[in-house]
Amino acid sequence: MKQRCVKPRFWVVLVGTLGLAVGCGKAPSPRFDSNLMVMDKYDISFEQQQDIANALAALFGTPDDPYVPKESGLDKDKIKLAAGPTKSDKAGVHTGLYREHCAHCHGISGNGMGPTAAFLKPYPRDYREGWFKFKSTERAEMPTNADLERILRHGIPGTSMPAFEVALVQPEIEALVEYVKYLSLRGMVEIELARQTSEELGEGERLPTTAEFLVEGVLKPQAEKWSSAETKLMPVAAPPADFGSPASIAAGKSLFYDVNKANCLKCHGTTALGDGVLNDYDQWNKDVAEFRTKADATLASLTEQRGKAEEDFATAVEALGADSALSEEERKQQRETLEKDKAATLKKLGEKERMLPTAMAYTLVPRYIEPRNLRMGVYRGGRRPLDVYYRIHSGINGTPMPAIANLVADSELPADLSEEEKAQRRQSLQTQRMWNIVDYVLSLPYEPGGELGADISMLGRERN
Amino acid sequence: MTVFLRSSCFALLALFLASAASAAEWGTITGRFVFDGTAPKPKQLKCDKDPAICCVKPHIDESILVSKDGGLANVIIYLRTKVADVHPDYAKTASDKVAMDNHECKFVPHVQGVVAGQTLVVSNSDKTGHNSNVQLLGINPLISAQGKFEQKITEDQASGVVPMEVTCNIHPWMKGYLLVRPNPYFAISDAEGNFTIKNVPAGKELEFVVWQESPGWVTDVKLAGKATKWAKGRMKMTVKPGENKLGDILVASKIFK
Repeated sequence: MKQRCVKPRFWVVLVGTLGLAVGCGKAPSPRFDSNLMVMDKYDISFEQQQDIANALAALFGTPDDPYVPKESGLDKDKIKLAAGPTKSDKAGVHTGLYREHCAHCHGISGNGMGPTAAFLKPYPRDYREGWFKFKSTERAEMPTNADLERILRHGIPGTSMPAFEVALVQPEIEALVEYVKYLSLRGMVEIELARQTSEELGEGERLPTTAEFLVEGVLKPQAEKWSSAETKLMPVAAPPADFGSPASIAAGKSLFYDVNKANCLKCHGTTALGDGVLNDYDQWNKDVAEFRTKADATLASLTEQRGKAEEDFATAVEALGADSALSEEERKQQRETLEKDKAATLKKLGEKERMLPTAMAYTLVPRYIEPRNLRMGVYRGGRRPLDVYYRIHSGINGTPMPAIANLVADSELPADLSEEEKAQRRQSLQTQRMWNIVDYVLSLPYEPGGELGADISMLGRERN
Repeated sequence: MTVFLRSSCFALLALFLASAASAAEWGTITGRFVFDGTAPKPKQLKCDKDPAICCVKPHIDESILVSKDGGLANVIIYLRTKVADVHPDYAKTASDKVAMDNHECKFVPHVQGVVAGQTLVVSNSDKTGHNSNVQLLGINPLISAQGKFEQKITEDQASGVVPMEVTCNIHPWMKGYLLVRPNPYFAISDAEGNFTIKNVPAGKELEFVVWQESPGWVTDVKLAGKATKWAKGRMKMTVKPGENKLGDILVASKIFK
């Protein structure tokens, strides 16, 4: 089989860059930003970062000229409709939909860092980790096309994400869904390249540029996560016959408040107003908070670390001079190694000094996550009972909201059943209980009287 | 006949293994991590949720645990070099269940290692619900009192990232770590700082990574009395057949937070 090589794409990128350097009086074309927080996490050097950027350019092209390898599983025509600058041709075909409708919040790179991002609450989603909240697939899996389409059509109530149903036609919505997947896949490949650079490459080894490595080894496994989403759906059993009845609501209520069962009150509060845990992060904000703390400490200690490197070097050289067992040649060799080590340390510190302030500028002030106020009747992932069931079944990816692992204690099952029968009984009882919780949650905004906060005037409540 | 077939099968298998494996010989690495200097006194953590169940005993910060004679607990050492073959003894534990328990509102053990193919079992022996959030594994099960959660670990999940943090969002002081590896060549130092990695392929230069939760990569140590730098916590060594005693590895106190 002919060995394919993706190298020629580099020339395309290079020629494009040269064209820009000459200049033609227009604003420069937007570029994909590097995921500097991940580069810092894996301690990726500038040279290695350039290798990763080249690999990404070869696999995905640029914002104006996206490249869609067929192994990505993405639809090239849809991507073309969504990508590039916003314009309409003579035939009325409108392109550049992402930049027209999405980029101002989600950013050119899909990093959730568009110009308006800092002013929104919650912050816009960063697609690059491939963590999506509201979907019909299992917690760790990617959303289906239908899941993303739903979000685009109906927006996310209680957030700045608008409903695009009235503004866009079906092919346009599909194009944007595909482009979100393109940006997410690109981000996931970037993280994987950084991880492999750090964890898999040997000392001084460069990132391979062969198609075999980039396409087969890196792109395909990530693309597979997206293309297999349709097969990773959450199992949904039909609601029990008494769904919606006062008995079902009452059963859900007792599960909600039972610390040994669903334990919902811990985060959503004893009044379900979302005031249980108020000082926790979701994963995106947690990563930023940890990165900022670490980067601050590194930047503050640079002078000290440089001094230490010089000091360590001087001590080691002195020890070398005092070691009479060494020959002149050995001494010279060891000194050279020490010099090389010192130079490497200083180079690394220099790179941190240049990179970290930029990397920090590419993050937003981390914010605590707010457990949902369940008395508002506003449900971000949708208000159908099925949507609430999804949230309870698998939790919400990237957030503290957990997936139900077990709601049935061993002692609740008859002892004389076989293991198989027990497992079946457990499963059906658990499903029924999850639907009971759905029932109670959906009844909360309308709950009359009682101890659950309904006796506090709505006006007196802190809302979120 | 059957006996003959079986024995010839074994012979063939042995031949195949011997030829496929560059290492026909195996070595065992032992050593002890020692905190070089005076260990800081562990801080007491704030405990304010479920006080009647969780805060009966005080919770201490487990990020630096040092024994009376200086042994440093919970240092992870794992093989970074890809190896084609593992010692047949590991077949016995290849599909084991590996446990982490929510016990008295902390993770026990504090650091756990699991190999692809094994099953992670997170249990809850407390009288209150816990969740065990491991974002990098894509799991966050809500485990009701006395319940458990099981998941078989796939090759894909054993992607070699430095240990994954485990947190309970209901009880914010709870923190643990999970090392998920494609092969069984790793160890976590015990309360006295001791570790053993058995049956490592001998004769070839291998690279290990040493990690501890407070500094992250362990970069500055004294090995056999000599100051040594391990960039990104990486230590190279060629394992000899039989015993490989590294002795006390003194971890520089300056790298700790």
